[in-house]
Amino acid sequence: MLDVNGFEVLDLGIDVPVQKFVDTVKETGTKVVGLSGFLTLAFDSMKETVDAIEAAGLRNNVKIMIGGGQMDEQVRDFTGADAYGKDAMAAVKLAQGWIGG
Amino acid sequence: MEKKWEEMSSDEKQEAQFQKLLAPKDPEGNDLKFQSPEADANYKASINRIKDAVQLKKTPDRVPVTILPSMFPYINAGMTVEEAMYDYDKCTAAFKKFMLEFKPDMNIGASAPGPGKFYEILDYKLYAWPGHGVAPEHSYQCNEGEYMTAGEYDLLLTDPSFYFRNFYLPRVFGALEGFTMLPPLTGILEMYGVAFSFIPYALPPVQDTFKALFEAGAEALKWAMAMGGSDFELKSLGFPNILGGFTKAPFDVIGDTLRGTRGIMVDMYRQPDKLLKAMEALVPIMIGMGIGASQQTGNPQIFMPLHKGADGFLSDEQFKKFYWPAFKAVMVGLIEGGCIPFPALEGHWGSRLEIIQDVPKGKTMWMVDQTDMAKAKETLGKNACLIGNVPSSMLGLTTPDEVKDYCKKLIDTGGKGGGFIMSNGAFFDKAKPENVKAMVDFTREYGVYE
Repeated sequence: MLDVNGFEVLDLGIDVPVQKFVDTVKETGTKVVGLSGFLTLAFDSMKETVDAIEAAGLRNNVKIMIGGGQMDEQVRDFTGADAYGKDAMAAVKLAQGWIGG
Repeated sequence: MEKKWEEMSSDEKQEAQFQKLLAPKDPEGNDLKFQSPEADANYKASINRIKDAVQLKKTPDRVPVTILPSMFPYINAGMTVEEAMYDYDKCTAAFKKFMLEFKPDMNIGASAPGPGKFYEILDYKLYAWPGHGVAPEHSYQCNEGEYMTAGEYDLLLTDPSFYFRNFYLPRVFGALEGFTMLPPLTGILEMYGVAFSFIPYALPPVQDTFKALFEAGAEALKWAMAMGGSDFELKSLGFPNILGGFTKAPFDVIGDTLRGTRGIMVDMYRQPDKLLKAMEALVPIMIGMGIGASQQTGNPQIFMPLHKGADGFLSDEQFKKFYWPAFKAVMVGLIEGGCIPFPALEGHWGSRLEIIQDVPKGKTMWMVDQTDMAKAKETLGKNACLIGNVPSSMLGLTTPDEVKDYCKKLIDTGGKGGGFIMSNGAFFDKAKPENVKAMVDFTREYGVYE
């Protein structure tokens, strides 16, 4: 959905290690990171990813959004992400609000 | 004289199913011996509570409460998902511990982890599971793909079983490769030439496939014995299993594991007539799947996990044209067969409520995930029992007091006048035990009807 709305999207795949997010943010200078998770087990992985981006000193460079089955404001708060979206269109609106497009 | 099953109305069939549940038998067919008079009373009170909640004729004595977990009982018992999948005794012991710790009115059994060894024997490719693509402590995950190609609708329509055996199954189970060499069973007609149809069974790849099937069958039986034993033990302790089996909405059958999400979305535009015909063909098959499972387990509730009908995947027009008619036809068929369809509205379904409220009254129960309970009650809730919808985030991240506040709101809205079962809204793996406990205990206190 982000892709067809004109954003350049880098799909890192599934079950992506935390370090890969950090490296990708560093290397590409991306402005937005999107994390998707469907299971309650994803709450912790998402928090770890946000924490790692913070620890690498990159947190101020990016906006982080989360989405997927069990995500809501509560989970957003827990993970430290900037926003959550209910569906793929919400991701487009969030990205447009943050970086235009 | 008692009426024969075929002569009963759907009301009478449903009533007969509940009466059967109220008089449980042991595996030998004798009356089940409860471990205490209290267990006997609890079991029957729970069945009556569910019956009242489903039928919408009167309010139950209190709001029934259940927990519908995926891997939570095993993770909470300190084991990995891998252990629960490979050690059936550990799996059932953890589930018993979970039931005794939280004491929900009813349960769905210990079958969520499934038999790990069985999947290995058949080289199951449709899912990744611990040791086979995901970490030991994680749950299994579907590897979505186009396991049916865009050009195969005619094959599926001509003979669904042949299509499944010769094309779909060998793609999702590596060990079933030999099935690709088998001729259709419908060619076996008369003496002349009949032997030709059996020649492929002499071929080594076919024989390897059958050897794998024998081994897989033995493993499935071993697992089923453990599950069945656990079920009877829990029943004798006063905890009924409410899961009679499962089936699916035809749109999800094709969209989940045959064509995949992308495939079915494209088919709605490129070959809508074939998609509609295929779903029509699947309706009796999905009805039969539910009724068959219900006859095996003796439980009328047939679970239907709903996926692609949720808000956002389809437009309203597409939902009305592609998703709803076949889904409703499956529910109606199940009801006529004496079953209670138990669909799960996974995700958000707010935009679909006006449409899906059109179901026979007192015959269905719906698991509500993130749809607003008050809105669901005003629409679907007029005709159907609603189950839910304590969010996973709340069970995992908040405090028992916050859970209680939420449950109070649920009982005041969803529980008004009956027709409501307290539960989590979506299957969950991780949660704070004290929050899960708060959901159950609070409902027992506050959920009593005047």
